[in-house]
Amino acid sequence: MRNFVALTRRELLSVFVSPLGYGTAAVFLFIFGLIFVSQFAATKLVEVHTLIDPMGYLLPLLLSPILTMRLLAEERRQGTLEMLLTAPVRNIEVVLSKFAGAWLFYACMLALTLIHLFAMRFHYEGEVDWGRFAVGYLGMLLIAGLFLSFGLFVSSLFEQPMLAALTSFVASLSLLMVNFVLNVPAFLQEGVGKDVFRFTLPFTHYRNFLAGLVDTGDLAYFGLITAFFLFLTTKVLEARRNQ
Amino acid sequence: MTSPAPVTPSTPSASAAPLAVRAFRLVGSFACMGLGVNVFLCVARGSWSDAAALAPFAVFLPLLALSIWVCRQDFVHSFTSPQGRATLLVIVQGGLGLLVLCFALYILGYRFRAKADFTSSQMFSLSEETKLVLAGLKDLDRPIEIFYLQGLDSADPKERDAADRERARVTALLREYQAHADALKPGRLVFESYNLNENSLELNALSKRIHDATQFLGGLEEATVFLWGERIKIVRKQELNPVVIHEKAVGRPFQSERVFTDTIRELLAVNPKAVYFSTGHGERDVQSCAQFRGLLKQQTYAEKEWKSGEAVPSDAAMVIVLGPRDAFSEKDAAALRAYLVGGGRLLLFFDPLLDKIQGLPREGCGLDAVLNAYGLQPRQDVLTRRFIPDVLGGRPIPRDEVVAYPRKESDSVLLETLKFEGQHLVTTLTCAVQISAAAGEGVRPQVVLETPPYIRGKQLFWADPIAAKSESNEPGPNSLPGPVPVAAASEGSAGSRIVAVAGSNVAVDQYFMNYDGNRTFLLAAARWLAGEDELVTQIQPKSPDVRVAKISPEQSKILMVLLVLGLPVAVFFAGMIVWAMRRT
Repeated sequence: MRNFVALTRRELLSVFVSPLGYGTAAVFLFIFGLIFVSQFAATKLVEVHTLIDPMGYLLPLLLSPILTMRLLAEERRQGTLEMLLTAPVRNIEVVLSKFAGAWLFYACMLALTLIHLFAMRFHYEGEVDWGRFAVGYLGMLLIAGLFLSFGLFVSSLFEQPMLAALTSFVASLSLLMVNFVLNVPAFLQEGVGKDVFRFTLPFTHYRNFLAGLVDTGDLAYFGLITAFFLFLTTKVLEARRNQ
Repeated sequence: MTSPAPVTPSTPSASAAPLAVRAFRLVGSFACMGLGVNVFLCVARGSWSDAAALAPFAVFLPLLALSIWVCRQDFVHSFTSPQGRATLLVIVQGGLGLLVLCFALYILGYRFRAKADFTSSQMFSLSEETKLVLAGLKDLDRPIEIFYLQGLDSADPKERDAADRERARVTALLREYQAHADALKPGRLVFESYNLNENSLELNALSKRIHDATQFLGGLEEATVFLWGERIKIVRKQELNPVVIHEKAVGRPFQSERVFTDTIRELLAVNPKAVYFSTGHGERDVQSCAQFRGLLKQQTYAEKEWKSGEAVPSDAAMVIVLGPRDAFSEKDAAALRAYLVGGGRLLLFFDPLLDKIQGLPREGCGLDAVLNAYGLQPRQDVLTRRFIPDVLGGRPIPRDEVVAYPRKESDSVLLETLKFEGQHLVTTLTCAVQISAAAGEGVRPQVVLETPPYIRGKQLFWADPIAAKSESNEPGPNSLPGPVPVAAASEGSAGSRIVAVAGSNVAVDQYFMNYDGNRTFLLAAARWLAGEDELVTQIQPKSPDVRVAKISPEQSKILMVLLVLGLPVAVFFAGMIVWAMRRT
């Protein structure tokens, strides 16, 4: 546990002192603000959908490759990964600390968007559905965690951060596009196939959070899939250590 | 002879690569993304016709080829080296594991699901009424079985999607019923969903049960079948869906919970409460109120007859007097009074006195003394309004439709749903009912419905016997000015309850069917009178509250400057400062 905390602190510090971290946060806030203000000015609705509906999967999709591409690929390219792996720390601690560092940084960026929420509240006299917003933010954190764990796994596969980012980005984007495709192949359109297909898409589960509903099925989905990618990342590191 | 120089494999290193190559890699990344998406979409849709719509992605195609060429060594090296091969093995194992995991999640997610509703309007939670009904299931000796029968999928993707959403909502709602019932006592409510296009043994057995019970198997697509032993109720698709006009849904978006809960109550009603309609006083023909009676039956009330000259039966949950044309005799009034004193319940519709209109009473209903004891004073005059065009005679028109709204000052439970839904009642040939000063001790009378004081500016509403008889278009000295009270409720100390409605047309099919407010009010009145106070407030359709902010264009601009430019720039400068401080 001590190793995990120390490594997580190191990861967080490395992001907070690097221009890349602040640049990423600035881009995040710019996109978030642009979509929010345009939606809010157009609809004037004090709703979760106005604030975090599109951002929930667009921003993790765009930013998780950037946040994760350097985590393992860069260490491997610079040769510091071998040092880390020979240190008295377990693989799982390395992986979890890197994931936690990226996730906490994302949470910090997300916390800054509370300013947007309060700006919206400032222009509304009635009672805001705070519970729904809280659950919406939880959904954003969980879907970001899933993308980050996937990005971390991809980062463990490559030496080039750019390749890792590219692969992570394309895979995540493909998943997003699948969500918008109406005419998916016939065998996925009916019966159990359809249900399984829809169940595997993260956005199906994310929408429940936007609606203000915390479902154990959705929590299990995000938790287990995230854990699964982290487990795979650990296995990759283990393979490298054995080599 | 010089031997050729040995070829050394190039070691991929991004940092060693020239800037141009790295730029190509970057652009190639985006090109790869675009092409990948484009190809995926076309393959998934089974058509390449939409490829042009995604042409901006394909602009990068030449750059893609070039960047792949530049990056090829990196990519190949990642998977061909000994480490890469080990990694590849992990990926293959992981892919298979992911499939198994997703399937397990699918099973777990559907079978063992719990949820928490954080919305302020509790959109995803069952209403208290439904919970009350489900709580009653735990005492059943055999379970209620609910089957949702899905029909054929439409060929139109939009229709198919709409049907899918509807199915998902119905299924989710019924699973919620099942989960809640299981939490109280497992196995008392069984829910299954079947696809009618599949030929399974279970479906065939169910079809046989439905056929045995109803002798009919048609129109079961998207229907919900409720079975309890030999008893069966079928809720068809049209009862769940909103009315659709010109492809736009109107009316309530989703009212299945009300329908389902009522159906379960109806299915379980073994000893229904008796509702007695009085006869022998020239009451309206009950056939003209078939819809109102149907609603009572659906609420598990058993319709019976209270004949003139007899005492009110002891099993009466309530007595309904539906627009008597003749006055109650002393004996009948006394019988009704005795019933009320013993905690009886009365729903009285009385009509105005208009001897010029056929079918309306020419004398009072003879229940004034009974009602006065409960603080109610019926006025059998006519409610009318000033007639606009003098060229047509300027006479009041009693047959004008009258709109009645919930009285704002009233906190009666009868009005909760009306107020929530923003509904009003519409009827015609109406009179008035006032609060009397001669109310007995412990009696709590109150007006619940009244007309607006005016309609369309200066058209005054008033109730006036003189206006009705003399056809005057001006209020007389005995006129009751608007807002005219048209319905009142009273509660006595012994548990007796009365709802008096000034005009029986409110319950007639023509008005009952066409105006939701009439239905809502009379259902609430019936439930309140029957002592089902907890059911008076009807199940509301679940829809999100609409919250609209007040924001001017200038404020939008300020938000744009602050949130889109100010905040990101501030964060960026903070980063620059931190970076500069570290360098120094």
